[in-house]
Formats: sequence, C-alpha cells, structure tokens
Amino acid sequence: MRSSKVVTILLVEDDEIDVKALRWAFEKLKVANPLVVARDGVEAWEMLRDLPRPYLIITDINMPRMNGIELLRKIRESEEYRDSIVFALTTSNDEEDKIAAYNLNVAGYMLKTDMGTSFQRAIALIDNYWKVVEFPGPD
Amino acid sequence: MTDTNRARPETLETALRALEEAEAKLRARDGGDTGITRLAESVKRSEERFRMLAEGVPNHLLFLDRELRIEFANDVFLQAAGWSADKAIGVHISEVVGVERFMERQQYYQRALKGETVAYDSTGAAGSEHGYFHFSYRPSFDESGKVRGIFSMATDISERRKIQLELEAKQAELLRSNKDLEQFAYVASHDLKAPLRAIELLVQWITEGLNGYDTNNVQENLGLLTKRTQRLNRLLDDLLAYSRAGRKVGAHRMTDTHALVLDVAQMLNPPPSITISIQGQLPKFATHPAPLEQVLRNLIGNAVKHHPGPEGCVVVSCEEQGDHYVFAVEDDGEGIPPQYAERVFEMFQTLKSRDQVEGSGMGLAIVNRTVQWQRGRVWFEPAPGGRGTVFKFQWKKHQPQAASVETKACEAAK
Repeated sequence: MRSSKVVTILLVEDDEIDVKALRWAFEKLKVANPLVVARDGVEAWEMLRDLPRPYLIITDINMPRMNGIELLRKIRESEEYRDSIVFALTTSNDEEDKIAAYNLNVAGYMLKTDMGTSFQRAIALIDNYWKVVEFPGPD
Repeated sequence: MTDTNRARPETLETALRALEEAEAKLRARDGGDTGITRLAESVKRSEERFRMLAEGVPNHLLFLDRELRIEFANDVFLQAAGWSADKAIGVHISEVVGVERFMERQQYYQRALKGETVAYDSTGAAGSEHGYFHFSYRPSFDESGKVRGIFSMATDISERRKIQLELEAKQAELLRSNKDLEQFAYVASHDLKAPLRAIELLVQWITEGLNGYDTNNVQENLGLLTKRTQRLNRLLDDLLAYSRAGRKVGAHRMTDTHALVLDVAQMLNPPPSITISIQGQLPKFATHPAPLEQVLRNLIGNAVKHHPGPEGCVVVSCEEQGDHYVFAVEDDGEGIPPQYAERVFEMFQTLKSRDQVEGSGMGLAIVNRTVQWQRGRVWFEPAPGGRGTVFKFQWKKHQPQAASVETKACEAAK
C-alpha cells in the first residue's frame, strides 16, 4: 500500500522572486503540500535534520556558499540522506551541470525557461510524482 | 694508466698505445707482420675525424677520466672557460662548475661512472653562469668492459629555453583567458539571466494586478522590478570593470597611497558607526594609481558593506617586503569561513543571496584579476584579534616590465 502521508517539499532557492513564483505556481495548481524554503545549500543541509519524511527536494544550482551540485554530492555521500529524491530546477542550461546532476541521481533536471509556465509544469510534474511514486523508507 | 694519460694527454697517444697492444696480440697469434703501418694510418684518420667532429660542433665536449679530471676538452669549451688546452688538462670537473653545482651533479657523474648514459637540463656551464644547458654523460668502456671515463657534452639551450618559457607563459595566459570566456558564458547564461527572468515575472504579475486579479501587490512588485533592473545594471557594469581589470591602467606616477586611502574612505562615505583608519604611514611610490585605488576601494568597501554592525572598525596598513608592498585591509566583521578561500575570488560569487545583501559578487574577482595582472597575490586570513577578516595583497614597487608582454598576449588571445 502506498504511503498516506503527505510529502513535504524542501525548496532550495536563493532568488526571492523565484520562490514567490513557485509559491504562486503551487497555489494555482492547488498543491497544498507543506513547503519549506532554504536560501542555499548550507541552509538546506541544516534543515534536512528536522525535515519530516517523506520529503522531496527541489534545488536551484547556482547559489551562494554551497551550490546545488555540492548539496547533491553531500546528500549522496551521507549515510542518512542518500536516499533523498531531488529535482534540479535551474536556469543553468549548461551540459556540465546536467551531467553532474544526473551523475548524482537527480530524479529530474528541469529548466526555468519561459516565465510562469515552466514553473507550473514543473510543479504539476512533482505533484503527480509524489502521488504515484513510492518513497523509500518507513512511512 | 690514468697517470700516464694525465701526463701525456694526447688522444692519439692513447689510441696508438691501444693499437700497439692489439698489434702485439695479433703478432703473437699470427706470428708475423700484420700491416701495422696500415692500421696506424687508419687510426690517424679516425683520430683526425674525431678532432674535426669535436671542434666542429657548437657544444662543450669533455672527456673525463674515472677521477673526473679533464682528459680532453674541445675548443668551444676552452673558449667558454677562457682556458688554454694545457691549463684544462688534468683539472677536476668541480673546478669548472664550482663546488656547489658539482655537489648537485655528482649523482649524475656517479651514475655515468657506473655505466649509465645520463642526460639532464640545468643552468650553468663553463663561462656561463646563467645559460641553460642540456648535459649528457656517456660512459666510455675499456676492452674488459670497465668504465674508463665519461664523455661529457653540454649543449647551450638558453635560446630554446627562453622561447619555451615564453610559449608556456603565453599558453597559460591563453588557458586563463579561455577559462575566463567559459566562465563568462556560464555566468551570462545564469547570473545575468536571473534578474531578467525576474523582471519578466514581475511584469507579468503587475499586468495581472492591473487587470484586477491581485491589485494589492502592484506597488510592491513595482518596487521589486526597480530593484532587479538596478541589479542587472550593476552586474553589467561590474562585468565590464572585470574585463578591463588591469588593462586600462593610465599613467605611471608618484602616488601617495596614504592620501589615496583617505580619499577612498571619504568617497565610500561609511555610516558613522563604522570608522576607517590607517595604521602608521602608508608609502609613497611610483605606480599606476587607478588599479591600486580600485583594489583598495573594493576591499575597504566590502569591509564596510558586509559589516554586521552595530559598530565596526576597518584598518588599512602596509608592510614593505622585498620588491613589493603588502597592503592589508582588516575588519572586525563576521569573518569568512576558510572553506570559501577559493570561491570568494571567483566571478559572481556571493556568500549571501543577493536578496539579503545587494552585490554583484564581482568585487573580489576584480581585485584578484587586478592584483594578478601586477604579478601579485591576494588572500585573506582571520583577523589577529579573533573577530573579522584581514585581506592582504601584494603590490609591486615598480611596475613589472612583463606587464606589456602579458597585455600583448591578451590582445593575441582575443
């Protein structure tokens, strides 16, 4: 049986307008999952400790202090959080970033391309994703 | 045998003696005349050919005996050393290269004396302290297979070396400028796009607001819109400043750095809670004032901007070290964790999000590039007081001549 628990979403994003846009996309699609925001990898890493499972991470790549790739690496290297499901949502269309992210087993690499709608599509995907996909670990 | 060689050094003599021995052996075997005259002539011709070869090449040629004394030296060597042939024979090799170099090279001689052919490059040969040479030591064996001496050859490769170093410098410069370009392409696609995307989003929201969906936020969104256009503007300005860092240097003139720092402090116009002071007297010397001012302005400006308050001190000082000055800008702010030592000097890197502290993340990248252009280094350390950071950078007392070369390399790289 699939988990009945609602998935918490950790959004790692340093740009407040992108955060706003994502919240707006959540609202528009009536996605009511709990949403927590970290402003960079360092903050996200600290938040992971208290994050209720199941959770799902959406991370930007280019951020101060610890970027998305570094955060991913840290997560994959850790005993505790290596099973995390992480999506990259970024403006970086750089081949190297994509390769690095997939090598670190992102569930999907999504581009912030056109305004608004790319966010809505991303959120719609993630909304479907957590409803269909089984999450690791005990409920 | 070695003694005889030293006393009668002619290679011909040595060869003739070897021939005599061979002759005696042959005579014993064949019991008759073996055409010694013919052989002697053949040896003479071969000796003649060796001499022509030894004197014809542009290299230093020496034959050293087992004790590393000169048994034969060619004209090129003798001319370089300023010695006559008589003076050279029997001289120990350490007297040619000096005891210090001899100690360094002893291992190579020993290897050659054990029968190995050795080659290496090094500075300093007879008559040329700073020239760069390729050395090769080839052991020479006697009939019984024992090493009887070393054939030493030194080839002057100073010119080749100079060209090689120049090429390497140019290659490094090209690699750096390529890396810059790549980084530029990356940041252009992200850091410059980010505010543009935000602007587009905000316009969309404002439009919706004006259409009556969300009228409350129109004012707020307009404020954010202004902020983002300013940010984009600032990013572009700083990117331009970065690309010019160290290039447009202006005139070289006597500069009072004490007055310069006072000017910078006044221009920065810090809040009254933050004081900028100078420790001691800063030097006065001939330099390009514009890039130096840029570096000091960025460092002092950073110290003021990132100070968490409520009260802060920024202290500028300078120390003389050999051919350069080391300027230090010390603050009593939050400090920078050492793991960011590399990253803080990269383009568009900030330790806080731009929404928290407005900044392009170009300030230290510009500092780094300007100081590097000066063949200097910039780094930071925790402030000695335990709180804050001290940024230090080297600034040459005299502008390096090489700067023009590098500028040329830059032009070529374009």
